[in-house]
Amino acid sequence: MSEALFRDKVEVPLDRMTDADPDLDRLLAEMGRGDADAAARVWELVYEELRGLAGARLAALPPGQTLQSTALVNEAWLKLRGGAASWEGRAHFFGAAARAMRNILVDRARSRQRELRGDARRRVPLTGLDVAELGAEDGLLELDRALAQLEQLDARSAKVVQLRYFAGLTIAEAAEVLGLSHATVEREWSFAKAWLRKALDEGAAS
Amino acid sequence: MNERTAATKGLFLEALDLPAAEREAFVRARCADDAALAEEVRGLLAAHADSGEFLEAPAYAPARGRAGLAADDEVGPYRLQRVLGEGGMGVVWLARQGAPLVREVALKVIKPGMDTARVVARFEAERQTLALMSHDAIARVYDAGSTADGYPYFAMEFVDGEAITEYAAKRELPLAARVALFREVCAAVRHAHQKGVLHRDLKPSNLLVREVDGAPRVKVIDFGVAKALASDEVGLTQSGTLLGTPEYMSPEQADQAEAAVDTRSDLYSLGVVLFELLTGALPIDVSSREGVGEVRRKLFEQRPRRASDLRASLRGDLEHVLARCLEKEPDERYASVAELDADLARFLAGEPVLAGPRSRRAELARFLRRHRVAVVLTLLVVAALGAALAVSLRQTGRALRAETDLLSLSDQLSLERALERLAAAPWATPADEPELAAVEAELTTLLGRLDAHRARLDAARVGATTDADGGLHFASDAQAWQHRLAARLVRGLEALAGDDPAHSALALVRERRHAAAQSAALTTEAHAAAWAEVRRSLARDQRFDGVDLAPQVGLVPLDLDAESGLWEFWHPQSGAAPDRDDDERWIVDEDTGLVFVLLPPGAFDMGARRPVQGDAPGDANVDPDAEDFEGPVHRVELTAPFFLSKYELTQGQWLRLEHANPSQYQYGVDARIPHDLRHPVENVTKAACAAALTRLGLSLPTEAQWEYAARAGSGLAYGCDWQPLCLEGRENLMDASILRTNLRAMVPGLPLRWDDGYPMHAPVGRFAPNPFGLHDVLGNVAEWVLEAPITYAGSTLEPATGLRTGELGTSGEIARGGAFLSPLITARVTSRNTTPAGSFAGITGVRPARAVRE
Repeated sequence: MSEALFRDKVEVPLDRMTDADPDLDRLLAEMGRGDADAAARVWELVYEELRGLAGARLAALPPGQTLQSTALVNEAWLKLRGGAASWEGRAHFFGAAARAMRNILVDRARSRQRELRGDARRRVPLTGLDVAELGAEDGLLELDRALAQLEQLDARSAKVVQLRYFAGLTIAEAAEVLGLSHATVEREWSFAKAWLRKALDEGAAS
Repeated sequence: MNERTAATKGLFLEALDLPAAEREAFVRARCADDAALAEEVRGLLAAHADSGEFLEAPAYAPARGRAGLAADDEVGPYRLQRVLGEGGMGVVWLARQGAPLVREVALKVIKPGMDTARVVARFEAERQTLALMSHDAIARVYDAGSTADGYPYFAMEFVDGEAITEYAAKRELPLAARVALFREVCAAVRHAHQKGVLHRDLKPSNLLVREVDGAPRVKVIDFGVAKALASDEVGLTQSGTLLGTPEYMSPEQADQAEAAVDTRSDLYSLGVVLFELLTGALPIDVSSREGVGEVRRKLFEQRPRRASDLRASLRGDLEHVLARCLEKEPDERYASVAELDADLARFLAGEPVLAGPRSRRAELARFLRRHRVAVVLTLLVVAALGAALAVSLRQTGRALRAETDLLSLSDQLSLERALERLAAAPWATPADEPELAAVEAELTTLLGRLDAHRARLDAARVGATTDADGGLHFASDAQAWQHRLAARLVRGLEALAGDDPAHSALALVRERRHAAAQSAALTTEAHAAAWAEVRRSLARDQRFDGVDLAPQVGLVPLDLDAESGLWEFWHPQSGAAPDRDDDERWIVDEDTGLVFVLLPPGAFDMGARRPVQGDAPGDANVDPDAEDFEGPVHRVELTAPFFLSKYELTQGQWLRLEHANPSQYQYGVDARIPHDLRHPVENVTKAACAAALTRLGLSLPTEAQWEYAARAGSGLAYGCDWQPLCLEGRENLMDASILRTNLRAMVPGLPLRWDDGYPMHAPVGRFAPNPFGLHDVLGNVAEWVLEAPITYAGSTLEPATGLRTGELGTSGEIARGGAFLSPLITARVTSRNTTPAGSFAGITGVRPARAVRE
């Protein structure tokens, strides 16, 4: 992806993000009680935050360095939350963050494909990080589609994938977010991986 | 979840709990009446076995596998041709090197997860030792570097052969032939051990056999690679998996007991290879798929198979030889590969081998070992009781911990940000002081919370158990993470305390703040009269026509150099003022700071072309060694005067500025010749040089500035003449002196016939200056320049500095000028030596420049 593509994201004013959103605590609590509007609002906040952070970090990183989703999500949490603590909210937050990361990455992969299709001959100077991600982006869209199918069949194991793969959470952290035991999450993870692997292999073969 | 999915999932998970061998029977039994269901579950099980690293790395990290490389891509000086193989560590490519010599190499590109800079640094540190090896059966490792995307790579001699076990199996070699072939491996490894090099990853795929004149010949590949890849926690990759190949790994290596890994670890691996070569099986069944703990347990506890159980003809001598190699305790193995080789020679000669049946002593040692395990187990039980008591404490701790995490995380981020700010903060002028003061204040505040964080660390330890070795164990990953977080922060804050700028960021920021605050007072203000004199002197000098030089903060005028007629200046921030010797030359001592020469503006013809009909030797800008990249010849006019260091930056100066000495050849590292801090700093990346200089208000010279300075008015290839003989006594180059040392193995071409007295780099300023009064420009170490390798054709230059913009001709970076260990043609004033991006080497250093400020 060219640097130009990131320009709009790079210029997200960082000072705006250092202020904690006073609503987040309340929104997270309402979201925890099942309020759909609150969930949508949290999602929006988190999505914007992560998108800005990802853009700024990508621009600042020297080639070859990698950005860890875990670090990104944790940083977004700190920024949105400011200093005060409401630990239960963190679980809801991570759920939203995982979905946001998935959207951001899939969007990027899509726009990259569009770009390649649109003007295949234009040579764009590639930064190191982009080249490193080329392989991943091709597979990302297929994975996203397979994951959408898995969501239909087995929402819980799909959720584990979202947390593990897109938000970079460990098994233990995912267990905390989902309120499940370590062993259960591990089993869901095994199943989801095998199911997705199989789905992708079959997709590639057909 | 629908019923069908639920059934499939349930069966899959149940099957997963069974040992792999029993799963098929389980599926058949449970899906007897539903073939489709069975197929579904089998498919999932197969996919599971196949899923390995699938999805294990978060999405937002670089792709694994081929590091985004494809055939025809360029990696450093190599062009990729095709994939030779793909393994756990990465991908091996067949690649072609174009310059300085054309050859095919095997290029091993390591997959993500490694800290590239450290891998390359470790390889560089090992390079000299590797160069000492010279054996027909050892493949050379030429080079290590990083790809444009930052993956480490190794360039090695390409060997078109097959693994020793495959070779023997395909040709059905008889026993004696196998042993004889294996002895060639022994000879190679023995040679390496004598030179002090361990292999650490001996396995059949690193022991290649090819036929030369109809006879099989062995080549051992990958020497030095495993060591370079080893992380600080020895033998483990950063993701915590075992580095290397468990099947052939010695127990002590799997245990990451680095201190215990010596030549006998390689000997163990050789034993496994010989076992496989003779029996077709492994002595212990372990595989890369198993976890670290499982591998370790098997290697330590499982008794190796008896070779004679697999192949009766091995009973007796060879069986004893194998058993001796595969002893768990290094002391019980052969003392060296030479001893093993001697026993194999005895076997082939029909004499009795020295490795007899296991001795009574060995039996006793094994009993004691078992006993020791029992002692450890007892201790663990005691520790577990302690853990039970801690559980109740944990409940109350939980609520507190959430807050702790946030505070720790936020201070951790503040600390990292402050350190980043410090790393980027200039400290050249008084104007730089406020930023440094702000960083100092931030660090001081953070340090003030050290005690609070220490208390949090103690709290995070509540509920943890301590094992016999003092290691902490936590009930959950979350707790372990909390502890790690707190511990890291406390470590980071503790490092702030202390007065040594080399270790304490706080001391460093204070030192730099002080230097910035004093920079004007000590230079322009204290030496106002001298600056006025410089100004008057330049007004009379036609070369500086129209130049009105303002006093330059950070520099102190020294004198007008008698030979060059150019003013020279001392840079106090990098060290003491230079003294003069009896010949009125400056003495650069270990504590001397930089000396800058103010070069006049001027025009010159840049680049070179090869001669055509009608050209005569000595014509300006004509050079039979010129490469296309050095042309076309074009006029360059530098309209601004600039400061250029009279000498290469010394190790002493780098040490004072950066509080470290990264040089490959430095005192205490290389005992073969005496070194001190007067030698040029090397082994530094261009980026590191540029960053360090920028903070000081200095810079790398532009490529045009460099060539202008190197030519000093000459149009000839070597400055002093069109051919190199004039450089004798003027530059430290790759000359006959190196043949006197045992480093001659490293010499990549024919050295010069003369002897300049310095096999390695010399203290700066030991050789004659050029007409501008600059020393060592064309020799000693090569020097980084500011721009990337831009093609001259179609490029544009900024008039004042000659800063070039245009199309990149190749990837990587340019270092100009020759060095004590580079081919003579690189010492031409026009030679543009390209190196891989991010690379550093013992032959490349830096000559700082500085713009004239208003």
